[in-house]
Amino acid sequence: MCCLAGLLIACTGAPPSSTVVTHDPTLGRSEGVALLIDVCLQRDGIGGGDYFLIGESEKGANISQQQLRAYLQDSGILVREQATLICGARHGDATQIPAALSIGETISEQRQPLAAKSQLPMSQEYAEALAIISSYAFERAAADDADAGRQISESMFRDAGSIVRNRTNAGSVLFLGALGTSRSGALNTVTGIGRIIVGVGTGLATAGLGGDYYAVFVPGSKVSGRFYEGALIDLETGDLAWSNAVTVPGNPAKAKNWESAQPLDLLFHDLLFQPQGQDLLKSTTQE
Amino acid sequence: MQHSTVRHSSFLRSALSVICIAAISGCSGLNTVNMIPDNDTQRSLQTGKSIRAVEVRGEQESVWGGALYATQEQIHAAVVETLTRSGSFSSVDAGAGDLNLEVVVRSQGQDVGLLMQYTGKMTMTYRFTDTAGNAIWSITLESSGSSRAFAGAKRTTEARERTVKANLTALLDELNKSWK
Repeated sequence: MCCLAGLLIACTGAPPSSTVVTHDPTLGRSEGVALLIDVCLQRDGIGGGDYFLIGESEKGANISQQQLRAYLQDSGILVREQATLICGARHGDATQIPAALSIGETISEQRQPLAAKSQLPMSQEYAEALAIISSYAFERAAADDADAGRQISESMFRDAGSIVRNRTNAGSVLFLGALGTSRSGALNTVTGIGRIIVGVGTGLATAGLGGDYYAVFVPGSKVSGRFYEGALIDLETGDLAWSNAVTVPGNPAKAKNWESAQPLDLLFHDLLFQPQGQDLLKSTTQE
Repeated sequence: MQHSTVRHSSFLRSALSVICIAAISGCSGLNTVNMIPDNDTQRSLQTGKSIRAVEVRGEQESVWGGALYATQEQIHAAVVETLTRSGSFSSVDAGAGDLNLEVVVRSQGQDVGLLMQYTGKMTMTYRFTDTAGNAIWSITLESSGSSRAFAGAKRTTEARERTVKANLTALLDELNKSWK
């Protein structure tokens, strides 16, 4: 024990380092970026009767949109369009899901997306294209063993990308998807924030959310908190260029649980802060 | 034998208590003096400009017992002192001048490594603008600094101070390299 203590005292730690960082070149194109945010919160009560929450999802989407826009603008990235879907991503054969305006209000079967809005004029075709992109991003982030649940083909995704490109003239879509479960008190559990699997790459969809993407919609699901999925869609090539996922604890129906920018930083850090050049610090000394 | 075991166990408990106390105590709170880069005579930039104001945005809240993060006030003080000492600007944050400097704290984090090494991480964007708000020079810098101090509070403090210092050192180096 003394040796361990001595070792701890003797060692000062790794030398400091510093690097110039900048965002991914795809985000820096002169055409700018279209932001797409899709939030879908589910109320998971005791004994079934699960339903989706429109109002709480909208609050979360609005806060996330402001944070993400500021995050991009601080990087000098042109935001050409921002669109929001509420439960836009499909997660099964059903196109209608039980939904309420808020917790405890009347539940009715409603068509997905439960709401759609954008800076540019919204149309049925545009909303469907955005929903396809969202579904694709989530599905490709799911694990391989969830292949059977996939509904969006490559051609559907590319067609949707063309529609979004023609509508926005943007060079890429930065996607933020959030799926959450608001559990009644007796069911609530807290888990740590963290990445599930970090997927960084080009041209390849990456694993991330695993089967939980589907599990979150299963009545009586044991999943709590939020899943965030981030993706970059290159509208010039039509590819899903990058994706990543994080989990966040806390009841997503409470607006204050959306206020921390830490999940977005975890999600998009590698995309927005890529090292440029070598280590800048010449000195490796520490006092 | 039994007596020896009891004594041994008692020693272990005491030792563990000392370690636990050390892990949660020690020097707490960041000192901006430790965030200021060392003087480097190779840096000779003289811009002939004055910075009217230094504004710091963005913050990561520290949680009691968790990682220690630099506040906006601490970063502001460190940036002003760093640029003042550098001599590259006629005056800094004195309310008059040709430029404004916006510092955006993009993120702060801390990792725990081998032998309980704490490594602070930080990303900051520095943006110089003229009085009309036009961008003159900007850069985003990511830095890290580590500590293996015995006491946990000192470890997170040192790691954070070194992280800020590394960021500001890189700022001075980059200003000297590419300011026009």
